[in-house]
Amino acid sequence: MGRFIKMALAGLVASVLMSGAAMAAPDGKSAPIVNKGDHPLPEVWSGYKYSKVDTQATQDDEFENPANLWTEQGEALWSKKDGSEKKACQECHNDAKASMKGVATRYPVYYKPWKKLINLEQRINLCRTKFMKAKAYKWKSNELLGLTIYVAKQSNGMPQAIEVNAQNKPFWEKGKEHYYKRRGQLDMACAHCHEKYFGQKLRANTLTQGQNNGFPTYRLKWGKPGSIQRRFKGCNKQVRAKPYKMGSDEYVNLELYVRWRGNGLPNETPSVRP
Amino acid sequence: MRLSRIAFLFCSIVGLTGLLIQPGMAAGHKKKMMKKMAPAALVSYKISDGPAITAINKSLTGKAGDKAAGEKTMVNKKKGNCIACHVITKLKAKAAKNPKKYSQMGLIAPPLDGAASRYTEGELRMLLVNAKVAFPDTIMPGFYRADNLTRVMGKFKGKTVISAQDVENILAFLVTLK
Repeated sequence: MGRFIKMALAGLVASVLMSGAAMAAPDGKSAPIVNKGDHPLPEVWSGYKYSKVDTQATQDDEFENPANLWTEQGEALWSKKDGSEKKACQECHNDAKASMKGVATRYPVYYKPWKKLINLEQRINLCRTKFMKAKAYKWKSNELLGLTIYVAKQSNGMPQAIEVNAQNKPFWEKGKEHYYKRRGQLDMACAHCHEKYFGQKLRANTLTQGQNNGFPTYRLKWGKPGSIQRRFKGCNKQVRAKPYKMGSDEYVNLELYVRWRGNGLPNETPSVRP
Repeated sequence: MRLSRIAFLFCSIVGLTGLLIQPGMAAGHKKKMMKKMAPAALVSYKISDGPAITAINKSLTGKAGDKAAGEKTMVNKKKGNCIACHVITKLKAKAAKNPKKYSQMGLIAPPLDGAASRYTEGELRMLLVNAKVAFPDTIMPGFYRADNLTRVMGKFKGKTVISAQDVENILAFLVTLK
C-alpha cells in the first residue's frame, strides 16, 4: 500500500513537471502574451524581440550587462544612510529582495496625498525628502537610475500587473488619450509606430511595441541607463513635438497606460536596447 | 476670421472638392501670435478631384522641379526622409554604394516603385503636401503644412517640413517612377 502511494505520488510529480516544461510560459521574447477581448494588442511582445542578437546577448549576460555598474550603485545606496534623519531605505523596507518584489510591475500607482499618480522614481524621491530628509535625486542622475534599477530588478520575471480601478482610471484614460493623439510637426501619435507598425523597419530601426517592462533600460544610444520618462521625451522630439518634463502629469499618466498595455510581460530590468 | 469660418462651412458641406485652401492664413485672434513667430507665408493651392484621390494639379511654385535635387531631399533624414518608410528599388544600387547617406530603406509604407502609374502628378503633389486629406488615418506627415498641429517644437513652429520648391523637386523625381 505504502509503495503504491509512493509510486502514485512520483507519477503525479513527474506529470506536473513534464506539463510545466511542455507549456513554457509565454515570455514576450519567443512567445507573445496573448490577449483576448478588448485590448489594443492581440499579442504583446517585449522590445527584446526586436533587438539584434548581440544586443539581446548583452542583456542576458549577467556579467556583461553594461547597466550592472548602476545596479550595484543602487544596491549600495539601498543601505546607505542619508539626509538629516540619517536613514537608509533598508531601515524601513528591510531586504529589497523581499520587500520590493513585484513593486515595479504595478507602478505608477495612485497616491492619495497628491490626488494623482506617482511613479517609481518619484516614490524613491518622496521617501528621500519626506522620511530621510535628504535631497531629491535628479531624473538623469546615476543615483536615481541605480536605485530605480535595483528596485525594479526585484520584480524580474514577474508579469506587468496594472489593474485599472476607480482610483487610477481617470489617469489611465488621460494616458490613453495621449497615446492616440497626433502631435508635433510630423503629426504622429504613439500608436502610429508602436501599435500599427511594430516589428517593421523605419529606415534601419525596427519599431517595437514601446513596452516599458525593461525600464530603466540601458540604451546603447545613450551610453547609460535611462527612464521611460526620458524615452518619452525622445519619442516626442523625434516627431518634432515639444516634449513634456520628466515626471510631468502627462508622462506619468502615459507611463501607467503604457505599462497596462504590457500587462503579462515579464519584467526584465535593466534591459539593453539600441 | 469670417473667411476661415466660411471655409470651414464650405468644407463640411461641399467636402474637399474644389475647395480653396490657404494654409498660411490664420484666424484674426491668432494674428498677434503669428506675428511673433513670423512664419513664411505658405503658398495657397486648390484641391480638386483626381481619378483615384484628391489632387493639387497646379505647381506650387510655377517653376519646374529639379529631380536630382528632389532625390537629395528624399533621402535627407532632416528633410523628406521618404526612404525611412518607402523603398525605392531604383535607388538600391546607389544605397549599396553609399549606405551612410541612403541608410536602409524602411518597409512601413508601400514601395514608391510605380507610384506615377498609380497616381497622377496632381495626386502625388497632394500626397506630398498633406497625405491626410486623401488618407485621414495615415502615419505619413504632411510635408507642406503648418496648420492644425499639436505642440510643435519651438524651432519648427509655423514651418513646413520642406519648402514648396522641395515638393516640386521631389515630384519631378516621383513622376519618373512608372
